[in-house]
Amino acid sequence: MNQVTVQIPAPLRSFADGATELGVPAATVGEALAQVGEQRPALLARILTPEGELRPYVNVFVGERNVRRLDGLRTPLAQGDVMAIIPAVAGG
Amino acid sequence: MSTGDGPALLIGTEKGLFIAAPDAAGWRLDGPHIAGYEIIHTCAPPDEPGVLYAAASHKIWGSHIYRSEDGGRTWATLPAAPQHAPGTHRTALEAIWYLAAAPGGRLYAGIDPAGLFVSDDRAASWQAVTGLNEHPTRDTWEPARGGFSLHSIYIDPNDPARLWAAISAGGVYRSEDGGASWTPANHGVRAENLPTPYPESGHNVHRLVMHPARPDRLYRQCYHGTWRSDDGGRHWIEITAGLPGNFGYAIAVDPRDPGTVFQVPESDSHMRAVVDGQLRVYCSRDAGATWESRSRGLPSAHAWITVLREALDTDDADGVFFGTSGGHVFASRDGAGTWALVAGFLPRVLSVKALREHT
Repeated sequence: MNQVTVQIPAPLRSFADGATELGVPAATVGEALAQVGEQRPALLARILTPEGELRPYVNVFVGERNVRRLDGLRTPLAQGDVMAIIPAVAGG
Repeated sequence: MSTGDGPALLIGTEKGLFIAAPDAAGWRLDGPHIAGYEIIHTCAPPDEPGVLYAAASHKIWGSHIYRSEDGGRTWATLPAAPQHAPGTHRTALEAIWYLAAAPGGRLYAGIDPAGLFVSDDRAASWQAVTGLNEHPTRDTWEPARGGFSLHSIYIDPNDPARLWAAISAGGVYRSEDGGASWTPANHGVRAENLPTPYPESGHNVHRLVMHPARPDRLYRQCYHGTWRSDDGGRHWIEITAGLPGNFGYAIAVDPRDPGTVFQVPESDSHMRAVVDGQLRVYCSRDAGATWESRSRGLPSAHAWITVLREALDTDDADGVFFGTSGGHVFASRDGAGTWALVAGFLPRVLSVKALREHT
């Protein structure tokens, strides 16, 4: 399993004991989020909808690429990848 | 929270929760708690002093329930939220609109898409009330402009098997068996949103209130009038006459007197603001037969605001409290005789609750 880094945005750090990033083993974006959320359900509930999809205004980038333009939660991860959770600039 | 006389107020706004506590100088404001979230509703279980629940929603981070164990000083998010089974509706959970606590600890939640849920473990898990959520008349329900919500959940304090709930749009429903089965409770109420004037269900009801001392007395504020029932919702009579407008969201009762009811009339479904820009609270002391403006101390011109359905509350000592879409909160300690400003320039106020037994 590849070891990856998940960067946590400021509004969600209170749900991750203040961590700015977390290291998890994962083969896909979905697995990385599941790992991050296993002990932090309140964090995961703000990233994914009840149906298990990315919330509409939450973007996840692997490196500089938005996973919505890749394979979504099935996007594969490589050893050392950095995954950033970034709220979309929604509204005005 | 309070060191002065009277209840503290939980003020839910578009950007967090504020707590106003009376003190010698007037009101002391604390917050925002749950900052950045819309606080659509709050709930204080009668059997758990100091415990509060808040329904919080955020455009990016979704809808969640928070709980305080210390009268509102600190809040923690809960991992579970009431939601439909994925794939049942267009979304499992758009927003949590209403929280209600029954004697004995059971909690109810109303959500968008319209649905009722119950928890018997302090909101650690939620179960769908299928007798209502899958009601044969569900195909008469539809989203209203403000959303597609189940709200106004009431439990008979003397018989917790008797329940009422309202749906926008869908109408009022009642249960006599603890929520196993439900009956539409709209007989006598016009439905101007539908081609049939008096249908069984499908009404756009903005707010339902049950009188706690006489649970068979209900009032409902619809988007085209105000109605009263004296038989638990089986029949309704219109009590709009005497009000300056037939539209409105908020309605509340004096918990000591089933004949005293407060309302904030609005012009119509097009303008959705208080009539003629005058912020007026109307009061009836005879269960809606006659109405009187009780507005001394409120702005009498160019107040083009609205008072939303959860933003008006009362206490059992002549207290009446409300918040506006302009972020102002007003309090009366004499049954709406005179009004004073509690707070101004807050975010849009979505909900106001008077904590009758605050810590």
